[in-house]
Formats: sequence, structure tokens, C-alpha cells
Amino acid sequence: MFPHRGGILTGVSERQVVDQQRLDERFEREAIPLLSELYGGALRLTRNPTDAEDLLQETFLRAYRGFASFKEGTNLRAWLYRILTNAFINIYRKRQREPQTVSDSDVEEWYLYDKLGAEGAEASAEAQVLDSLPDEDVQEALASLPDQFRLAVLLADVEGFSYKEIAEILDVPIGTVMSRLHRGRRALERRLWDVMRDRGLVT
Amino acid sequence: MDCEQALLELEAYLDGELAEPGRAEMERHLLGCASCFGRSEFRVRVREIVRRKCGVEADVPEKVVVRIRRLITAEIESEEGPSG
Repeated sequence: MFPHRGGILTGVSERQVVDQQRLDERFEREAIPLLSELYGGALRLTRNPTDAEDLLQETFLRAYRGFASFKEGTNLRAWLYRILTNAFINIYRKRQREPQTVSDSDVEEWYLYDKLGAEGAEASAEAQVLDSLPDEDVQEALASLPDQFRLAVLLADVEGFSYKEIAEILDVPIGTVMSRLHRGRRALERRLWDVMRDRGLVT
Repeated sequence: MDCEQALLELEAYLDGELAEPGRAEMERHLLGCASCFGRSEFRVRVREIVRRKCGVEADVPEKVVVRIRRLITAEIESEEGPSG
């Protein structure tokens, strides 16, 4: 537990102290148990344990300082991911000026499906060759997407957030989430095909 | 619902974001259309594989939890500060 306030009151009303104390207790009870999960999220964003630890620390300090603005009963997990994502962009992507687009040729709707289908696999088994890729290859392919697409795919397909939650986390309209998700997934499939080809898993 | 419409809305459907009556129409279409059903299964599998391979769980190191708790405690104490 965090230390309790109280005792000598100087310039702060007793009510404010009690409110703050209640807030601290809620932070301990509701936010602290999400440390582990957010660490996973931080690790997936930074792909490096040291950076993930720093990002997690920054996230929880920001969350603690801003906890009064979190509306009780709303989605704390999404709120924390919003802080995490913003901190990540602030800290690690400030100077990044790389193009934030994927080309139309990278987002052909059924590229991977058609390619795998042409390999002669059973329709239902087509995706299974993907499973023979090492985890790191798939993580690398996802990490190679421009951030805005990578974030959308990570939040939806790995962290399991809804469109509405992702819109709140990234502070963009739902239509933008859908379009980034769509393009991001197609671009990821394209890159997965390239990795499988490089690995000699497909021809 | 025809194939064109089904494939257009497949992604939202698989994300659990397709509202009724579209959802029921999609389910009816997928039951009757082997081609769209195959594509739908393909997407489901790709996503499941990406989730499993990228979503590797890692426990937060205890020293990090301790450090964060200590920093928050320091914030609490500095707010209480000598001058209030």
C-alpha cells in the first residue's frame, strides 16, 4: 500500500486530503494489478526489455498524476494503453520522420490467400504454413509496418481491443481505425509472404 | 447478401463489429458459400497465428514493480511536502 496522508493539514482542506487518499487507494487497487499486462504491451511496442521497463515506469507515473481525470467505472485498461501509446510515441518516435504510409500494391486484398492457394494447399490449411515461421519473424514483420498501421494491428489483433477502444486510445475517428487496420493487416500479410519466401517455406 | 458484399464486410464481421441484420446475413451467406467461408477461415487462422506469435506473455520484473511503487510513493510524499 502507498503511504497514507493525514495528520498535519497545511493549506489543504481535509476533504481534499481524503479525496486524494481515496484516489491513491483506487490506483493501488485497480491500476497496479495491470502492471504485468501493460508490461507486455510495452514490450511489444519497444521490443526491448530495458525500453519496456522505462516506458512502463513513465506510463504509470503519468497515469498516477492524471488519475483524477480517469472516470471511475470506465475502461481503465484502454485508458492505460492510451497513456502507454502516447508515451511511446513521445519518447521513441519524436524524431521519426519516415513515411507513414503503405503503398497500394502492398495492400492487395487477397494477396497472401491467392499466393498460398497457388501452392496447392487445402483451402482450410492454407494459413498453417505461417505457423512454421519462428515467432521472431512474425514479430519482425509486424514491427516493420509504419507505426500508425502497426499500432492499429497490435491493438486489435494482439491486445484485443474493439474499434471504439482503439479510436479512444489513438485519438482518431473509428473510420480511421478501420482503414488503418485494414491496410495494416494486408501489408502484414504481404510481408509475411515475403518472409516465408525468404525462408524457403514457399516458392 | 452476395459474395461482393460479404467480402466487403468480412473484416468487420470477424472483428465482431458488424451490427445486425448484417451479422445474421453474413452468417447465412458463409454457411451457403464455400468460397467466402474458406476466405473467412483463412483470415481467422492468420489472425490467430499473429496473435499467438506476437502476444507472447512476459512477467514484469519484480525490481521494476518495486521501482514504480517507490516513485509513486515519492510523489505522494512530495505532494504532502513540508509547506503543504
